[in-house]
Amino acid sequence: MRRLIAVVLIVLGAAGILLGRLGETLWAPPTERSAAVVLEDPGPAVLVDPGVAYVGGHTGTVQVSAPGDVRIIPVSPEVAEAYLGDARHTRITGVPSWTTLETREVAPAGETTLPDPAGSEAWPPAAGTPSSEASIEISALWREDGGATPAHPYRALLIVGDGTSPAASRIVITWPVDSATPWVPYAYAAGALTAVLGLVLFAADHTARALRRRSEEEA
Amino acid sequence: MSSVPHRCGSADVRDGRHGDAAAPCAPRPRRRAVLAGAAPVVAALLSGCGEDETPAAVPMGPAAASPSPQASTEQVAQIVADVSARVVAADGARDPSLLAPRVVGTALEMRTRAYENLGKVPGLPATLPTPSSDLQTALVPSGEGFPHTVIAVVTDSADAAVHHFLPLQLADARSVYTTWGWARQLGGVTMPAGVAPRLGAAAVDAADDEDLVLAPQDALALFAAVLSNGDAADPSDLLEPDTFTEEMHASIQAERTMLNPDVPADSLATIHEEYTVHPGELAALRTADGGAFVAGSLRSSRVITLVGGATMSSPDPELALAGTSGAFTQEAVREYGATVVLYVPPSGKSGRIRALAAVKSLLGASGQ
Repeated sequence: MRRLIAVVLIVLGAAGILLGRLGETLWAPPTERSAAVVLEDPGPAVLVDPGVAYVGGHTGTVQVSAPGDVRIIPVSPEVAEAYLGDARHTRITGVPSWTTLETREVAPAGETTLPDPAGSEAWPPAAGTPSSEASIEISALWREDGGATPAHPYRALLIVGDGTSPAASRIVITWPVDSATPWVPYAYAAGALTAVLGLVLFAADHTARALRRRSEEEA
Repeated sequence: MSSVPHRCGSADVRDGRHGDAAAPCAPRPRRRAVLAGAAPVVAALLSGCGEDETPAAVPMGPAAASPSPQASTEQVAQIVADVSARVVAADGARDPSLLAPRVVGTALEMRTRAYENLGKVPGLPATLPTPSSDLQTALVPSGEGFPHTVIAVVTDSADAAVHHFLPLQLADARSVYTTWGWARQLGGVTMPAGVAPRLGAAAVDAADDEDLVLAPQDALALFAAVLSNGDAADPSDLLEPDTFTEEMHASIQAERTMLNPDVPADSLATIHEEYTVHPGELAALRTADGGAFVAGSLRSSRVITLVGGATMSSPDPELALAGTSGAFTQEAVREYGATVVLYVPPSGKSGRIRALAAVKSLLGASGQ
């Protein structure tokens, strides 16, 4: 019976260790989380409000998919508002859940086109490389905003193409997350403890049997 | 754990070694051992369960932080280089359309007239002051609101020892920086103490006299008044003498003497040049010492009025543009444009308003 108990304990211990390993691999939580929005008719520009990119931390990426080449331009909200004027556009205002972005349509009856942003010097000419799959690193944005000691108010992200075509069809903000499963160390510890307990019990039972056999032989 | 096995019947039957009947096994110790081994594992599984948190509110950032500079020095250098390239190209082709979109206002009008005049009358200056792309320093403001204003200092394209003050303005967020003029640094001028190239200077409104000896527009108006009427227009002695004003006054006096040879002054002809501030072309930035650089445009009309039936035949190439073959019976008028840069000291400190740079160019002539 003791041997049976020992075997059971060893099996349980192995199961605990296996659970820990599964928690690290197959059952490991995602290493990142993404909030996204699909835009059907956002207007010639999309403006990501200051700070939205930092909701999930100060690293990650903002990715924009668009029917044509677009640029992501970090700019002060005041300059962005001056550029947008009365034109219809969409604002990304928040992150209500880790999978969605909150949007708001601005000036729905406003102008449907904007001047080509390449013709404005309100931002550096190299700001934002045009692409149909544009992206920007949040860490770079954070660093330019001053990092932990911001030098100036957070900037917005102006997403715009040539001012005539829709600015974006999909926007995804992705942040890395701490992927450590909290119960994995406990599973490893409990499994190892249980397995050791079983091994000790097994060894004790084996020793006792050997002693008994010897005593019987001598008798 | 005891070294003497507690034998039970079921165990003996399983291992086949002992046939002796033994006391029946007590189930609790075995069950307790199994539970003791399983409990930690189950507890570990349950310990990590928990709901995923919802996102935090959008961080707004520092509310009281200073606004970022409106442009970087790299961007200013690119803009200055573009201005210089366009001016050089336009001068080479004598085509003012090549100045667009960078050069506007008074500078555009000066260049346009110069290109026209150079083809008409020999003797007019063949070269015009041209800023190079060599950026020496720049005052770049911070803050929101348009226009954005930069004052750049660049070398002259022909003489690297000569500097030009080049005001640049961005009218709105949909435009490019433009300039309505540049002014050549006056000889013998030293930069005011406490002035340094900086990012984040504050723009000063034209009518803002807070902590300044005079508001920018008033400082320009005073400078224009002294150019027109001499020191009598500056009873408070707020303006320092400068080489540009002296040169203009000397030019007037020399022409007055030439118009009235061997007769009392103004007997045959009077001459007067009236300067006014050209509206819409003023840029002012706060300097590190609390003063301000003020750049602006002036227009002037130098009028020769013939007295008592006198006539005038002038070899002046500028007056040849009037279309009268240099002969006048009533008056001769020359129109000029000028770009000037002043330093206005902070109030409460000693020091007077100082002209740092100026350039003047003929716009046209008329008369009869």
